[in-house]
Amino acid sequence: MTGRNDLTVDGKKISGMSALKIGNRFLCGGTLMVDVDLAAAAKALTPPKAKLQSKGIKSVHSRVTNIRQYFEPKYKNMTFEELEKRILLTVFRVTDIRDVPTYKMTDEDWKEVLQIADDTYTGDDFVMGTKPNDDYFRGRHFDGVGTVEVSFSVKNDVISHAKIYGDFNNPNGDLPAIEKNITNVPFAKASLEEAFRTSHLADNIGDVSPEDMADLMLKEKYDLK
Amino acid sequence: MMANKVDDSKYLWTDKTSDGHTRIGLNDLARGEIGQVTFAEFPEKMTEVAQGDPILSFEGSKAVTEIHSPIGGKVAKVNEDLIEHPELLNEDDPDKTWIVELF
Repeated sequence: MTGRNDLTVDGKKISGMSALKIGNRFLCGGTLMVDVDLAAAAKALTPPKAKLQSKGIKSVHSRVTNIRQYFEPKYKNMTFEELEKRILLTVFRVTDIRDVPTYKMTDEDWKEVLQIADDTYTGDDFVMGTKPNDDYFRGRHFDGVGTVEVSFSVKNDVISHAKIYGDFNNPNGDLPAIEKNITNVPFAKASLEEAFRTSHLADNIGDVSPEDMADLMLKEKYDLK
Repeated sequence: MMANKVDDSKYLWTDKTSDGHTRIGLNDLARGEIGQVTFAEFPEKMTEVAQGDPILSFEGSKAVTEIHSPIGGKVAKVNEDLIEHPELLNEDDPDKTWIVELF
Protein backbone atom coordinates (compact mmCIF):
# COMPACT_ATOMS: atom_id res chain seq x y z
CA MET A 1 0.00 0.00 0.00
CA THR A 2 1.24 3.47 -0.75
CA GLY A 3 -0.02 6.94 -0.01
CA ARG A 4 -2.73 6.99 2.58
CA ASN A 5 -5.61 5.37 0.77
CA ASP A 6 -4.24 3.63 -2.32
CA LEU A 7 -3.79 -0.07 -3.06
CA THR A 8 -1.09 -0.72 -5.64
CA VAL A 9 0.38 -3.52 -7.70
CA ASP A 10 3.84 -3.03 -9.21
CA GLY A 11 3.75 0.57 -7.96
CA LYS A 12 0.57 1.32 -9.88
CA LYS A 13 -2.70 2.21 -8.21
CA ILE A 14 -5.58 -0.22 -8.69
CA SER A 15 -7.87 1.06 -5.93
CA GLY A 16 -8.70 4.31 -4.20
CA MET A 17 -10.78 4.68 -1.08
CA SER A 18 -12.47 7.54 0.69
CA ALA A 19 -14.18 7.93 4.03
CA LEU A 20 -16.48 10.54 5.48
CA LYS A 21 -17.79 10.97 8.99
CA ILE A 22 -20.86 13.07 9.72
CA GLY A 23 -21.96 13.03 13.34
CA ASN A 24 -22.13 9.33 14.29
CA ARG A 25 -22.51 8.06 10.75
CA PHE A 26 -19.54 6.77 8.82
CA LEU A 27 -19.43 6.35 5.07
CA CYS A 28 -16.71 4.43 3.30
CA GLY A 29 -16.39 3.76 -0.39
CA GLY A 30 -13.90 3.20 -3.13
CA THR A 31 -13.00 1.90 -6.51
CA LEU A 32 -11.35 -1.16 -7.96
CA MET A 33 -10.01 -0.80 -11.48
CA VAL A 34 -10.72 -3.91 -13.55
CA ASP A 35 -11.42 -2.99 -17.17
CA VAL A 36 -10.95 0.77 -17.24
CA ASP A 37 -9.94 2.52 -20.48
CA LEU A 38 -6.72 4.03 -19.09
CA ALA A 39 -6.28 6.59 -21.86
CA ALA A 40 -9.79 7.90 -21.33
CA ALA A 41 -9.25 8.00 -17.56
CA ALA A 42 -6.06 10.03 -17.94
CA LYS A 43 -7.92 12.52 -20.11
CA ALA A 44 -10.82 12.86 -17.69
CA LEU A 45 -8.77 13.26 -14.53
CA THR A 46 -6.80 16.41 -13.93
CA PRO A 47 -5.08 16.26 -10.54
CA PRO A 48 -4.15 19.62 -8.98
CA LYS A 49 -0.78 20.93 -10.14
CA ALA A 50 0.52 20.70 -6.55
CA LYS A 51 -0.09 16.96 -6.22
CA LEU A 52 1.53 16.00 -9.55
CA GLN A 53 4.52 18.25 -8.95
CA SER A 54 5.28 16.82 -5.55
CA LYS A 55 5.28 13.25 -6.84
CA GLY A 56 7.45 14.00 -9.89
CA ILE A 57 4.79 12.25 -11.96
CA LYS A 58 4.43 12.93 -15.68
CA SER A 59 0.78 12.04 -16.02
CA VAL A 60 -2.07 10.18 -14.42
CA HIS A 61 -1.67 7.34 -16.96
CA SER A 62 1.60 6.15 -15.52
CA ARG A 63 0.24 5.87 -11.99
CA VAL A 64 -2.85 3.71 -12.40
CA THR A 65 -3.57 0.30 -13.87
CA ASN A 66 -6.22 -2.39 -14.09
CA ILE A 67 -6.08 -5.38 -11.77
CA ARG A 68 -7.35 -7.95 -14.28
CA GLN A 69 -3.89 -8.49 -15.81
CA TYR A 70 -2.67 -9.78 -12.42
CA PHE A 71 -5.42 -12.41 -12.02
CA GLU A 72 -4.33 -16.05 -12.11
CA PRO A 73 -4.83 -17.63 -15.59
CA LYS A 74 -8.03 -19.45 -14.58
CA TYR A 75 -9.61 -16.14 -13.52
CA LYS A 76 -8.30 -13.97 -16.35
CA ASN A 77 -11.61 -14.05 -18.28
CA MET A 78 -13.93 -13.83 -15.31
CA THR A 79 -16.89 -11.54 -15.90
CA PHE A 80 -17.57 -8.47 -13.83
CA GLU A 81 -20.60 -10.14 -12.23
CA GLU A 82 -18.53 -13.20 -11.29
CA LEU A 83 -15.90 -10.95 -9.72
CA GLU A 84 -18.54 -9.05 -7.76
CA LYS A 85 -20.03 -12.32 -6.48
CA ARG A 86 -16.61 -13.62 -5.47
CA ILE A 87 -15.85 -10.43 -3.52
CA LEU A 88 -19.18 -10.62 -1.68
CA LEU A 89 -18.75 -14.30 -0.78
CA THR A 90 -15.25 -13.60 0.56
CA VAL A 91 -16.12 -10.45 2.49
CA PHE A 92 -19.21 -11.98 4.11
CA ARG A 93 -17.52 -15.40 4.55
CA VAL A 94 -20.33 -17.45 3.06
CA THR A 95 -20.45 -20.04 0.32
CA ASP A 96 -23.91 -19.23 -0.96
CA ILE A 97 -24.70 -15.77 -2.33
CA ARG A 98 -28.18 -15.97 -0.77
CA ASP A 99 -26.54 -15.91 2.67
CA VAL A 100 -25.15 -12.41 2.08
CA PRO A 101 -27.28 -9.92 4.08
CA THR A 102 -29.20 -8.06 1.41
CA TYR A 103 -31.61 -5.13 1.44
CA LYS A 104 -33.88 -4.92 -1.59
CA MET A 105 -34.61 -1.35 -2.64
CA THR A 106 -38.35 -0.68 -2.91
CA ASP A 107 -39.95 1.57 -5.54
CA GLU A 108 -40.45 4.12 -2.75
CA ASP A 109 -36.74 3.94 -1.91
CA TRP A 110 -35.79 4.58 -5.53
CA LYS A 111 -38.22 7.50 -5.71
CA GLU A 112 -36.54 9.10 -2.69
CA VAL A 113 -33.05 8.46 -4.04
CA LEU A 114 -33.85 9.99 -7.41
CA GLN A 115 -35.44 13.00 -5.73
CA ILE A 116 -32.28 13.63 -3.72
CA ALA A 117 -30.17 13.13 -6.84
CA ASP A 118 -32.31 15.63 -8.69
CA ASP A 119 -32.41 18.24 -5.95
CA THR A 120 -28.83 18.14 -4.80
CA TYR A 121 -26.56 16.34 -7.20
CA THR A 122 -27.55 17.58 -10.62
CA GLY A 123 -26.47 20.91 -11.93
CA ASP A 124 -23.13 22.67 -12.22
CA ASP A 125 -23.02 23.85 -8.62
CA PHE A 126 -22.41 20.36 -7.31
CA VAL A 127 -20.72 18.73 -10.30
CA MET A 128 -18.25 21.53 -11.03
CA GLY A 129 -18.24 23.10 -7.60
CA THR A 130 -18.58 26.76 -6.87
CA LYS A 131 -15.27 28.44 -7.62
CA PRO A 132 -13.99 30.37 -4.63
CA ASN A 133 -13.88 34.02 -5.55
CA ASP A 134 -10.81 34.83 -3.51
CA ASP A 135 -7.65 36.75 -4.30
CA TYR A 136 -5.36 33.78 -3.75
CA PHE A 137 -5.52 30.01 -4.14
CA ARG A 138 -2.39 28.29 -2.90
CA GLY A 139 -1.58 24.71 -2.03
CA ARG A 140 1.09 22.14 -1.59
CA HIS A 141 1.49 18.47 -0.95
CA PHE A 142 2.71 17.30 2.44
CA ASP A 143 4.17 13.80 2.58
CA GLY A 144 2.11 11.49 4.72
CA VAL A 145 -0.71 14.04 4.98
CA GLY A 146 -1.92 14.94 1.51
CA THR A 147 -2.54 18.12 -0.42
CA VAL A 148 -3.57 21.16 1.64
CA GLU A 149 -5.03 24.13 -0.22
CA VAL A 150 -6.10 27.53 1.02
CA SER A 151 -8.35 29.90 -0.86
CA PHE A 152 -8.11 33.33 0.72
CA SER A 153 -8.42 37.07 0.30
CA VAL A 154 -6.43 39.94 1.75
CA LYS A 155 -7.88 43.37 2.49
CA ASN A 156 -5.85 46.17 4.04
CA ASP A 157 -2.99 43.70 4.57
CA VAL A 158 -5.24 41.48 6.70
CA ILE A 159 -6.82 38.09 5.84
CA SER A 160 -10.48 38.88 5.13
CA HIS A 161 -11.65 35.42 4.09
CA ALA A 162 -10.19 31.91 4.07
CA LYS A 163 -11.34 28.44 3.13
CA ILE A 164 -9.29 25.26 3.40
CA TYR A 165 -9.46 22.43 0.88
CA GLY A 166 -7.49 19.28 0.29
CA ASP A 167 -7.42 15.52 0.08
CA PHE A 168 -5.99 14.88 3.53
CA ASN A 169 -8.02 12.23 5.32
CA ASN A 170 -9.23 13.70 8.56
CA PRO A 171 -12.88 12.90 9.26
CA ASN A 172 -12.78 14.59 12.67
CA GLY A 173 -11.00 17.74 11.55
CA ASP A 174 -12.68 21.08 12.17
CA LEU A 175 -11.62 23.18 9.20
CA PRO A 176 -14.04 26.08 9.83
CA ALA A 177 -12.33 26.53 13.22
CA ILE A 178 -8.97 27.05 11.50
CA GLU A 179 -10.57 29.31 8.89
CA LYS A 180 -12.10 31.46 11.61
CA ASN A 181 -8.79 31.57 13.46
CA ILE A 182 -6.84 32.90 10.50
CA THR A 183 -9.43 35.50 9.51
CA ASN A 184 -8.58 39.06 10.58
CA VAL A 185 -4.94 38.06 10.93
CA PRO A 186 -2.29 40.33 9.36
CA PHE A 187 -0.95 38.81 6.15
CA ALA A 188 2.54 38.47 7.63
CA LYS A 189 4.81 35.63 8.75
CA ALA A 190 4.79 36.05 12.55
CA SER A 191 1.06 36.75 12.77
CA LEU A 192 0.10 33.82 10.54
CA GLU A 193 2.44 31.41 12.31
CA GLU A 194 0.85 32.38 15.62
CA ALA A 195 -2.65 31.96 14.20
CA PHE A 196 -1.82 28.46 12.96
CA ARG A 197 -0.02 27.64 16.21
CA THR A 198 -3.35 28.18 18.01
CA SER A 199 -5.38 26.23 15.41
CA HIS A 200 -4.79 22.66 16.61
CA LEU A 201 -3.34 21.68 13.23
CA ALA A 202 -2.50 18.11 14.27
CA ASP A 203 -6.13 17.44 15.24
CA ASN A 204 -7.72 19.30 12.35
CA ILE A 205 -5.44 18.55 9.40
CA GLY A 206 -2.49 16.35 10.33
CA ASP A 207 1.27 16.57 10.70
CA VAL A 208 1.80 20.07 9.27
CA SER A 209 3.62 22.84 11.14
CA PRO A 210 2.36 26.42 11.70
CA GLU A 211 5.48 27.59 9.84
CA ASP A 212 4.63 25.42 6.82
CA MET A 213 1.04 26.62 6.76
CA ALA A 214 2.04 30.29 6.98
CA ASP A 215 4.63 29.74 4.25
CA LEU A 216 2.01 28.08 2.06
CA MET A 217 -0.14 31.20 2.21
CA LEU A 218 2.68 33.73 1.84
CA LYS A 219 4.76 32.31 -1.00
CA GLU A 220 3.89 32.82 -4.66
CA LYS A 221 5.49 29.48 -5.51
CA TYR A 222 2.45 27.74 -4.03
CA ASP A 223 0.03 29.47 -6.41
CA LEU A 224 -2.50 27.11 -7.92
CA LYS A 225 -4.50 29.59 -10.00
CA MET B 1 12.00 59.26 13.52
CA MET B 2 10.63 60.15 16.93
CA ALA B 3 7.12 58.83 17.25
CA ASN B 4 4.70 60.69 19.42
CA LYS B 5 4.20 58.10 22.16
CA VAL B 6 0.94 58.65 23.95
CA ASP B 7 -0.56 56.93 26.97
CA ASP B 8 -4.19 56.09 26.19
CA SER B 9 -4.52 53.29 28.71
CA LYS B 10 -7.39 55.03 30.53
CA TYR B 11 -9.48 54.83 27.35
CA LEU B 12 -8.90 51.13 26.73
CA TRP B 13 -9.77 47.82 28.29
CA THR B 14 -7.47 44.78 27.96
CA ASP B 15 -8.45 41.15 28.21
CA LYS B 16 -6.57 37.85 27.98
CA THR B 17 -7.90 35.40 25.37
CA SER B 18 -7.92 31.60 25.67
CA ASP B 19 -4.91 31.54 23.33
CA GLY B 20 -2.90 33.73 25.70
CA HIS B 21 -3.25 36.79 23.49
CA THR B 22 -4.22 40.23 24.80
CA ARG B 23 -7.31 41.90 23.36
CA ILE B 24 -7.48 45.68 23.51
CA GLY B 25 -10.69 47.63 23.08
CA LEU B 26 -12.43 50.93 23.59
CA ASN B 27 -14.07 51.61 26.95
CA ASP B 28 -16.91 53.83 28.21
CA LEU B 29 -14.64 56.76 29.07
CA ALA B 30 -13.45 56.89 25.47
CA ARG B 31 -16.99 56.61 24.17
CA GLY B 32 -18.06 59.49 26.37
CA GLU B 33 -15.35 61.74 24.97
CA ILE B 34 -15.64 60.75 21.33
CA GLY B 35 -19.37 60.42 20.83
CA GLN B 36 -20.98 58.44 18.00
CA VAL B 37 -18.19 56.87 15.95
CA THR B 38 -18.69 57.25 12.21
CA PHE B 39 -15.32 56.36 10.77
CA ALA B 40 -12.45 54.02 11.70
CA GLU B 41 -9.16 53.18 10.05
CA PHE B 42 -6.11 51.11 10.99
CA PRO B 43 -2.46 52.01 10.38
CA GLU B 44 -1.14 50.32 7.25
CA LYS B 45 0.73 47.03 7.53
CA MET B 46 0.24 46.89 11.29
CA THR B 47 2.05 43.68 12.20
CA GLU B 48 3.75 44.81 15.40
CA VAL B 49 3.27 47.73 17.76
CA ALA B 50 5.35 49.30 20.51
CA GLN B 51 3.75 50.74 23.63
CA GLY B 52 2.29 54.12 22.65
CA ASP B 53 2.07 53.38 18.92
CA PRO B 54 -1.21 54.25 17.17
CA ILE B 55 -3.53 51.29 16.62
CA LEU B 56 -6.62 53.05 15.28
CA SER B 57 -7.71 56.37 13.81
CA PHE B 58 -11.33 57.24 14.19
CA GLU B 59 -13.87 59.98 13.92
CA GLY B 60 -16.71 60.54 16.33
CA SER B 61 -19.30 63.30 16.72
CA LYS B 62 -17.15 65.01 19.34
CA ALA B 63 -13.60 64.32 18.15
CA VAL B 64 -11.30 63.04 15.45
CA THR B 65 -8.44 61.18 16.99
CA GLU B 66 -5.96 58.32 17.13
CA ILE B 67 -5.76 55.82 19.92
CA HIS B 68 -2.47 54.30 21.04
CA SER B 69 -1.56 50.85 22.33
CA PRO B 70 -1.04 50.53 26.10
CA ILE B 71 1.38 47.66 25.54
CA GLY B 72 3.84 46.45 22.92
CA GLY B 73 3.44 43.24 20.97
CA LYS B 74 2.97 41.50 17.65
CA VAL B 75 -0.46 41.70 16.07
CA ALA B 76 -2.43 38.45 16.20
CA LYS B 77 -5.72 39.88 14.95
CA VAL B 78 -7.24 43.15 13.76
CA ASN B 79 -10.95 43.90 14.13
CA GLU B 80 -11.48 44.68 10.46
CA ASP B 81 -15.27 44.77 11.01
CA LEU B 82 -14.77 48.28 12.36
CA ILE B 83 -13.93 49.62 8.91
CA GLU B 84 -17.35 48.87 7.46
CA HIS B 85 -19.10 49.18 10.83
CA PRO B 86 -17.39 51.86 12.94
CA GLU B 87 -20.59 52.16 14.96
CA LEU B 88 -19.64 48.88 16.66
CA LEU B 89 -17.26 50.94 18.81
CA ASN B 90 -20.30 52.54 20.44
CA GLU B 91 -21.63 49.25 21.80
CA ASP B 92 -21.03 48.00 25.30
CA ASP B 93 -19.89 44.56 24.16
CA PRO B 94 -16.20 43.56 24.21
CA ASP B 95 -16.85 41.33 21.18
CA LYS B 96 -17.76 44.47 19.26
CA THR B 97 -15.47 47.12 20.73
CA TRP B 98 -12.16 45.27 20.46
CA ILE B 99 -9.56 46.91 18.23
CA VAL B 100 -6.53 44.58 18.13
CA GLU B 101 -5.31 41.38 19.67
CA LEU B 102 -1.59 41.19 20.51
CA PHE B 103 0.79 38.33 21.38
